[in-house]
Amino acid sequence: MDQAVKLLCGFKNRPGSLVTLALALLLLLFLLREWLWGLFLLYLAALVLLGLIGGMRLAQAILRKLCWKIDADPKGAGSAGHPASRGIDIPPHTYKRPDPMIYSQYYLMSKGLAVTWDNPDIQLFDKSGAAVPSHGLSPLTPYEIRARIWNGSTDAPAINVLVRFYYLSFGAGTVRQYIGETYVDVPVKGSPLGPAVARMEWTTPAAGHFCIQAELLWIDDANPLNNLGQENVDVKKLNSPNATFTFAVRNTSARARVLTLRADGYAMPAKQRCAEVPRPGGRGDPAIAARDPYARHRPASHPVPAGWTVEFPGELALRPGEQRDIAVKITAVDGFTGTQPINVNALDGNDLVGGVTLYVHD
Amino acid sequence: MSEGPQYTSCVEPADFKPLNTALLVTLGALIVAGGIAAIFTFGLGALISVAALVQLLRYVLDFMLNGKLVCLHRNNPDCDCGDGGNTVCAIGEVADTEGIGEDKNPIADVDNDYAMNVILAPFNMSAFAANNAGISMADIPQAIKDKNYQIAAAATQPQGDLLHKELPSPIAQDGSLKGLGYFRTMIGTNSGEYHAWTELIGRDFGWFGIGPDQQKKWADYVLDPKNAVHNPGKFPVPVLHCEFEGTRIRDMLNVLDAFLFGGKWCKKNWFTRALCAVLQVVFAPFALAAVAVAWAAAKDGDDSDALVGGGHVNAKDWVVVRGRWAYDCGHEGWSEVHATRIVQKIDRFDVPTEATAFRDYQKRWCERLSEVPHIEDPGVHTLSPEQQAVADNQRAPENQWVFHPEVDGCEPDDPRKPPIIK
Repeated sequence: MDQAVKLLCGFKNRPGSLVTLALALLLLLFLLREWLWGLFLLYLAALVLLGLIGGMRLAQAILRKLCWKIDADPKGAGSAGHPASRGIDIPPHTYKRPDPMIYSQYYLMSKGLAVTWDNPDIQLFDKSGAAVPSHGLSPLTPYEIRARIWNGSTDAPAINVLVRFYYLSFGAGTVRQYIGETYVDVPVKGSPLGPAVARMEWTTPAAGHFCIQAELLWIDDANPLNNLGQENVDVKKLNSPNATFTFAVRNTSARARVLTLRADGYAMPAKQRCAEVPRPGGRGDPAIAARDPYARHRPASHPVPAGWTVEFPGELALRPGEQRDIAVKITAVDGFTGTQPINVNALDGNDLVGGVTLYVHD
Repeated sequence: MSEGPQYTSCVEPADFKPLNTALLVTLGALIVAGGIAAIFTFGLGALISVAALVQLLRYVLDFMLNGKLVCLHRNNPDCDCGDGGNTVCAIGEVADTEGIGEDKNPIADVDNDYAMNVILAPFNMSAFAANNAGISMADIPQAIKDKNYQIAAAATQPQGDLLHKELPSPIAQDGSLKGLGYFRTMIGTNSGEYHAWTELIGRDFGWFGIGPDQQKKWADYVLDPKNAVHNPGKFPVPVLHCEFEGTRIRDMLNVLDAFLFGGKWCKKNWFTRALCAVLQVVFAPFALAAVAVAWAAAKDGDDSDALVGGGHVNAKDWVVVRGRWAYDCGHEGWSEVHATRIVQKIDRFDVPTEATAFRDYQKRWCERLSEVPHIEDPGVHTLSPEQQAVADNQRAPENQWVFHPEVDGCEPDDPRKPPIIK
């Protein structure tokens, strides 16, 4: 077969051969001129045969349709006699899903990235409209929580995305308490109206240090895994040169778990200038294509700073529903000035259970 | 960015021309006469028959692709979805769906479109169900349909105008073209539960078109004690018929044009016209064979072979659709969305049930859907200023992020900062 194709391909590139073949065909027809009439009749007979077969097949199809339509409502007049509704599959060029999203620690960590619990998309404001850090809230005071909602989709907006707000005791995996919910319209990526901002009034409880959670709910989400964002921050001054934090770790699972605690020094790096960003798939240096585009956000790039120590229990065995307070003692290098974040994350295997971002400053 | 295909074109009402019956009869007569002549001419007459059949096919296909749809233009201050009102957005619950080839007459069956029927929001199903035909198997009287049409298309209904059933002026009633609107049959009970007739009583006709007895299925349903206690009845509901286009008519017409020398050269002078006519007759059998191949090879857009990212729509799903609003003069006449180019599923509980709140909700959907730059044919399909702005932003390097703008986004030279809340 391949040989025959090769032979034909050879002819394709030799017009002379094709002309020769055509002449040979003409010669053959000339030699068979006595038979031309017969050949023509054969052609017509083949036509009639094919016509009969095709005609019968067509008549059968038409009759089949007529038979079942005879007792059915005409199109548009009703559904009696019509086939069962089985749903339709709609291809992706027509069927669209939006992707409402927020900075979601659980999603980002599942992608192998380091995370901060100082969520860039969640912020509290007091009555005067001034931004308030979530670790410095006063008890029984009204605040407004704002959550920035992005859309990862370039062609599907989402109207009335439900945003639910919760508060939790400061810690990892603690029980969340419902604050309230609101709706926002999330335009497509690139819209001048995006990202959307969801606002929620909240009066703090009488006492405690709290985390805030914002959760997005959409019925047909292109990526439902990036819908939960959390703000979980505490700040302390270094005291010659230590700071000790205490927070709760809870096992929300129905089974006993051994949670592993890990610390890192990740803080969200400043954005690169667009002109300096090597884009995957871009032309040029192959080394660029081989480079990890997320290297700046990998946990390995953000260990606890050299000379610092972070003391905490490495593992916690917790029964279902058990909650335990743990202390984290951070010791800075001598002479440190400035602010340093330390993230402590609780993991069950590779699954993130929760975490906190602890800021220490001189 | 893409949107669903649209191979058909629509004509303005003043330009609409129904199928020419005289031409259809002439071509039909030629097919028969050629067939009879073939018996006495050793098959030679078959060529005439085939050529006439091909011309008939070409004429009908061209009407289906470029003639039967009449452009409608929506004038609703609450929802401008673009193209001077010819593109509309609609929100509602899927009553039922129609698979490929379903519900078409044998000629229209050549079309491999498929469809869903949408009950436009907000609606009160019990108001429709109050006008019911009980458990009778007889056709639902037109008077009942008219009553429910009045409910669905009332001026107080935010989307009632989309159900427009009257023939667009100056098109007049002609033969089967009557402008009766599009209805689906629903089954309701006094408990408030409802289903599409095709969900419960739909027939599977099988290869021979016989299928199970529908009356028996209906009787089984109404006599089932768990249904009988709720007094079931059937009633008509006006729906917005939303069609998704397949490629078949376009493909077949393309093949016919290619084989039938339909180019400009043929119309050059009397000689070229005559030559083309002869060639058309000679090549007609090949054209017919090629059309059959195109028919079989046409893509109907069904993604049952698992195209990533597609979706499945069932009865009772709530959707937002965007597409061209047209009046289908190929049947009894109704307004529909043809082609449906965008579908998104929504949560029924997000949709306001009160008319004023719904108008606001609908307006927001229309505005946000209208700014999406679905670019398919740059230079041909011009973007609105809003779409252009979004398209420019989407191409900007700072919007190429995947995980989150703060993670893999970048800082533009001339930044349009997102709202800073931190």
